[in-house]
Amino acid sequence: MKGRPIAFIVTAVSAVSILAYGIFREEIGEVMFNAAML
Amino acid sequence: MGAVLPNSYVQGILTASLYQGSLKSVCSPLLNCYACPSALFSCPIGTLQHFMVTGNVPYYGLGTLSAVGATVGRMTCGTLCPFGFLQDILYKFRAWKVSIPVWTRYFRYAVLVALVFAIPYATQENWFSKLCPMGTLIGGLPWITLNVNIRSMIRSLFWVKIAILLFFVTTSTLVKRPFCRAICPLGAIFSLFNKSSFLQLAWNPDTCTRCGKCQKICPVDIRPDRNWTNPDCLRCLDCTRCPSLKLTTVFHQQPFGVPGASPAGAAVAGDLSGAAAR
Repeated sequence: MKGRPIAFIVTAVSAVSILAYGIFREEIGEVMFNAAML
Repeated sequence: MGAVLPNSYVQGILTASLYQGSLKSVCSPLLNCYACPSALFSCPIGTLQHFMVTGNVPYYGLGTLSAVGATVGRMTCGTLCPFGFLQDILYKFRAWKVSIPVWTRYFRYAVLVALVFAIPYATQENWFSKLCPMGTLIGGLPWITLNVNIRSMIRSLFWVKIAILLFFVTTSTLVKRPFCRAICPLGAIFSLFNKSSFLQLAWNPDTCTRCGKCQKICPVDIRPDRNWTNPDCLRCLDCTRCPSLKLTTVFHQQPFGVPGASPAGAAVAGDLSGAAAR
């Protein structure tokens, strides 16, 4: 149980880092283009 | 709310067109087809597949889903998913009820790896989207109704999709949420975060009588008193009607207070009889 807060912090930081890298790579535009071109 | 909010572009149905605004850049944390004429947001699974088809790592899609999963675990499956809601309604029909074995949960991880990542990467085709029953229900069927040209494009794959949709509609009347438990790749991603998410389910062994009524009202047929971080748990919070279970955060070490601090007479066993009869 005591390891869970650490696991959460590691997971959350990793998730936000991956998301930020995706935004940095301008993937948002590709997602919108893909969704609009169906 | 999960069914209405992401599908509130009414103009799309009236004019038989797709919403192409900036909200389509947002991956909704729900299994909601972005080919639906009224869809406002992108399908996260469709987005992951698109990046695999183009040979890229879907950082944005994976990051969005990981951030949601790290915060609430599988809660969006239990509270917002329109296809989950449909399965809940179908299970209320009077029919012969059966339970499926626990090992079927591993099938959804196989679906995630094979149909969302590996096969789309190898074949450059969105195979999960081609077979998705939610896509057939809110994407395929409305378009065939609205557009005569699309109706003329029906091939054998469409009837396979209809058969898959009918299979899950039928089995949902017999089994609690069969698609969510055994197939859904989005649920497979979120379930990886259930043990370490910010929101957690807490169980109080001092007040629990192990009556098992929590399992009767659980939409995925699990016993939260045996494993309250179960990867199958949808965090719908139906079981928190029992005072032995409550929603807490990962930082809360004693969510029910210090053990033994409350008087013995105050230990109320969960009364879920009304909910179980639901």
